[in-house]
Amino acid sequence: MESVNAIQTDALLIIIIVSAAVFLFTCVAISIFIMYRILNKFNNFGDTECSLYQYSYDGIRFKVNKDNVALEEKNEFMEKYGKNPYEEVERTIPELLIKNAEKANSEKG
Amino acid sequence: MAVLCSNCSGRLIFNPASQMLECAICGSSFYPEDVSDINANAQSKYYDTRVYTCGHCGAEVITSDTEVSTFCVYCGNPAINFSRIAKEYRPDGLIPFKITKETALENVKSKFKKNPFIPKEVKDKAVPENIRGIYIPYWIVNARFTEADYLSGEVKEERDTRLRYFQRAGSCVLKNVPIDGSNILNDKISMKLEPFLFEGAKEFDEDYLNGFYSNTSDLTYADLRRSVANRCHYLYSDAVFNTCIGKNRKFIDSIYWADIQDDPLYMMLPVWFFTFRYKDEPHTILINGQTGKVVGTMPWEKKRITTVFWSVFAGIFAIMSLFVLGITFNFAGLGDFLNILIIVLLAIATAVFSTGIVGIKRIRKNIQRTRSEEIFKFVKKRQA
Repeated sequence: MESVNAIQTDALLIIIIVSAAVFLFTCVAISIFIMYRILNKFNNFGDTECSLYQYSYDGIRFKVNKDNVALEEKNEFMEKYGKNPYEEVERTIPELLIKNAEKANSEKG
Repeated sequence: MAVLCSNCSGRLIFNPASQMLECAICGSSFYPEDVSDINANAQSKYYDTRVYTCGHCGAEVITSDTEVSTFCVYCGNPAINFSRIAKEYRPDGLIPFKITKETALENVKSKFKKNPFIPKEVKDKAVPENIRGIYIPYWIVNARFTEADYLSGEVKEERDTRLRYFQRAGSCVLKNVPIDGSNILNDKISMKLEPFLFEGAKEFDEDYLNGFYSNTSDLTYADLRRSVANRCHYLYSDAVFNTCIGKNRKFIDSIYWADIQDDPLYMMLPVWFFTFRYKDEPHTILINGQTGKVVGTMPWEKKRITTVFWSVFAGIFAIMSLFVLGITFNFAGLGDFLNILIIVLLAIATAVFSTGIVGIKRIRKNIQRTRSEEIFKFVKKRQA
């Protein structure tokens, strides 16, 4: 009878400790979340960035837009798009950028 | 180099409020386009700047202005001397300052109002002497961009949650993307200053620089290509992310390529820098000189934050205690209900805990950027 009581007391103790831990963790978690919201509102200014649509009139032209893909298809997919499509394109480089490169090279040399 | 007033030979300064050059002595005003500068040659690829050096510590100050301060901010020494005239590459255009120093200061101060966490010492530093107007070099590019992404996300199907994979590949054309042309200014900060409205852009005229400081681009073409690719990837991946469903979405793999179209424009864009030291650490808050947007993270007083944290904690503790006690009294004996309550509390707590920790980490990262010694030096080199 005594051993049954002892087991019940241990179980009760564990329940109390676990409940107290959950309770404290909940209090700390909610407090940290509220603090983050307060700091973000008061001390963090201008934390916004432009979206793609600020600079692109027609958005993204998708060639592939597939959901629920098997993991094995990944390598095949990446291989297909792994080549620079603009490799052959030659562009004129502004003079200032060429001079900066020359300056950087001479400083390295 | 800057011209002097044709009426009294006084110093002409560009006034953002009137968009005119104004003489500080006789009050005459002129449109920058109408002022003829005998030293300037609009056909030339270069324009002149003045370089000053501090005789005490050797610091270099570059300005296209006719006047320079009488002390060095590095060492506080007054021995600052004109050193040489340097030729800088002439930009294609610029957006003139539209926000005056006073308005910029007001915008910063309005953020301080009713803010109990910003130390008084910092609030006191919001004075005109700590604000400098600097034209930042930018490359304005048009680019074609291609990206392929492989993503995962947790999708709920009936009662189960399954990990699903997504494929996205596409391209887009981006126009007038501003790329910060200075290696020293953190791209993550300069990005937040956007948008700049290019309808307000003007052909470059060095007279617009009067009363301000400027910097030149130190990027190479390889740097620019890398910056364009990263910037486009940042914009593109954000849009792609929103096309996928599910929770805990993440990119598993991404490949991307950018092609900068010919003739990117080299432009000067206006930014006010509010710089100060707090607890011996430098801080810089940026204000878009065209729109007035304030960017940066202010330091906070630890004592106050700790007090608020414990007050919030005490409040939550009290509310939760009442809640749990109420449940215990009213539903005594309903063990299952309490178990469910504990599980629900645990789930909510875990979610808000991770959000809170991630959020506070982000704010701390932002303040690290704001506190960057490099930006501080960047601004101080262009001392008022």
